[in-house]
Amino acid sequence: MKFTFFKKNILIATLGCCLFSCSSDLDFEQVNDFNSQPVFTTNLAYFEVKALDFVVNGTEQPLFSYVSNVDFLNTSFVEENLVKTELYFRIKNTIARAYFYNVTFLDQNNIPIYTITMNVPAYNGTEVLVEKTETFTAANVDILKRTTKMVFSIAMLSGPPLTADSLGRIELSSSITAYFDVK
Amino acid sequence: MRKITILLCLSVTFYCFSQNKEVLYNFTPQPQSLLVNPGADVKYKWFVGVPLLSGISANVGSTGFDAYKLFANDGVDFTTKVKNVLASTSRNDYVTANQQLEIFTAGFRVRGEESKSYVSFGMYQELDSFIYVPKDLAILSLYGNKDYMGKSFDLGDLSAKAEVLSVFHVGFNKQLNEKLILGIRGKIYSSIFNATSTHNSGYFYTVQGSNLIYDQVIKSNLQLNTSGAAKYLDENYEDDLATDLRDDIPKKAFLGGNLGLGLDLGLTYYPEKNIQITASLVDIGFINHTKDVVDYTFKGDYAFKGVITNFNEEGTVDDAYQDFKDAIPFDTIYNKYTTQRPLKFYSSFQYSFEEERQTECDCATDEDSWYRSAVGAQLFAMSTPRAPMLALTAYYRRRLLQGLQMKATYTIDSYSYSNIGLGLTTKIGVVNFYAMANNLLAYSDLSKANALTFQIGFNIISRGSSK
Repeated sequence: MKFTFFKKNILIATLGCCLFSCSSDLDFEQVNDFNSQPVFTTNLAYFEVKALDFVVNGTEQPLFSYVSNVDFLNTSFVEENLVKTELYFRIKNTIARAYFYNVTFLDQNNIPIYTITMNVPAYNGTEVLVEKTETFTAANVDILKRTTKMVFSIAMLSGPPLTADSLGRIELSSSITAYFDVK
Repeated sequence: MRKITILLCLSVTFYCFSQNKEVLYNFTPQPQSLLVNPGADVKYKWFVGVPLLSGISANVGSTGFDAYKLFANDGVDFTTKVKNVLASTSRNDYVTANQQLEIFTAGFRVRGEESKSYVSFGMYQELDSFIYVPKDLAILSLYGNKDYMGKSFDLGDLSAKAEVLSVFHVGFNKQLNEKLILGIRGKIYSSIFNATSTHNSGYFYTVQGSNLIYDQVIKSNLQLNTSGAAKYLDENYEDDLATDLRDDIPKKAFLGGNLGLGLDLGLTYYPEKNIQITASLVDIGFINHTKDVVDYTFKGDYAFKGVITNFNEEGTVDDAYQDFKDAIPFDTIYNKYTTQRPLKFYSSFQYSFEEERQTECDCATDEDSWYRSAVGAQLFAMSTPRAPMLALTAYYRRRLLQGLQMKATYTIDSYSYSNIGLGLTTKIGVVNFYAMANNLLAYSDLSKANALTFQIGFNIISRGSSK
């Protein structure tokens, strides 16, 4: 008797819930379609070289370079989700010499796989500003994912030799803007 | 029977979604009202809750959005819905869930027929979670920082806690005189699982720089404490989760978990025969998490200058990524911690009318039975990791028939301004059944409800409660 009473009440309560309440059609499977496309931007590299930095023991060195680890490009998050990248470079020159500013990408075997070259004219009284944006799209963004090091180098072109008294500086500022597609 | 119970539990958990038990509070024909006010004006000789069925309650709530906005099957892209919800919510919007299941409960009057002292005790399981919308972190992960130059992302937006625990309690309720009833309940908490990340701070911003393209700084002070899940969080964990949980949970539920102590206090006062004032404090308590503790920290600060800068070391091969990981390490530590239980405060003012003496009832001292109807107002407040949650309720209570009482409520709170609730309690012989639900207007479309509470249960009550 007691049991039947319970059953009845539970049934009534359940049915009551079902009969007197409605709900719009919900689809929880949608969470699988979630897709965020964040775009992050940060500094890539900065460095400043003074004219006299090219002079070693009174003689001009034609090449100056820095090697840097960019192993954050090899993380699994980047590997799986990076779809596009823009590298932005800004060079300010006040040295009275023209030069190539090269950024060379090395893979894990230190083999060059990509080079960006910026042609920087000589300083002639007003600061020289060179800007370049290199875009990697879905077609070639893999190059970045394979890159483990970047070499930033300056190759001087011919001109009046630099001495310990030479004035001026080269400033490189750069940023990376990474477009992700996270599924 | 078992199937029905499971079905019912499932439907309850599915539908339900605030901790405020405005219908149950001061609904004294129901002995469960002692759990929200140990000083409630109850009358019984003894009662026993039907094990596992005496109190099933659940409530879920969210401010700023509802299930429909996120999950409507309307062809709109889910990511777009998430973005819309994010745009319409603030960092102070939250999602809460609370579920309680009484394992057993009973009570009896002490010291004979004329006594007005009651003891009640029992055990219940509780699930409690409170999650704030992590607004800034969500913006950052959905959109990135590129279009948010100058914005300082507040890492303190991350604030969440969740726990599953069992509670053993014993309460004492005594009518001191015609006007005053006092009650106290002692509790032992046994935490089965806890995750708390509520004391976070920090920021991340990007602004245009001068030499550097950007000035970009992160300062992070994030910590997540967990207890009761160490085994499952271990990356080498490969055992069968279901089997382990089945062995683990009962052990922890029966005082084998992280233990804590708590106290409920309450009173009922009658300045006049038909005026009643009540107040209670529920879960003044803490839990010490010492066993099975794993804490994660992400603390430090770093300025993103890029892979090479001659602001730091010169001429060496820099590794900015490693520098970053060293500056803000993701650490796992094993320090014990203490959590506070969410403290609940209830109070009410009630005016009773439609005086009638019940000649058929032998409980002539039962104040309530002199009145058929009552109206009142209640205030509810609960501590949260940020500002307290508040709710104001107006209610009407009426004895419809011998053994059938009703309470209707209208509540204003952070979830909605039009929350209508209804509770019914019946007693046929010694068998008592009750059902309570709120936000009835939302039942026309549950998916658009911001908050829902549902509670049902069965008890065996002997004499004096069908006032």
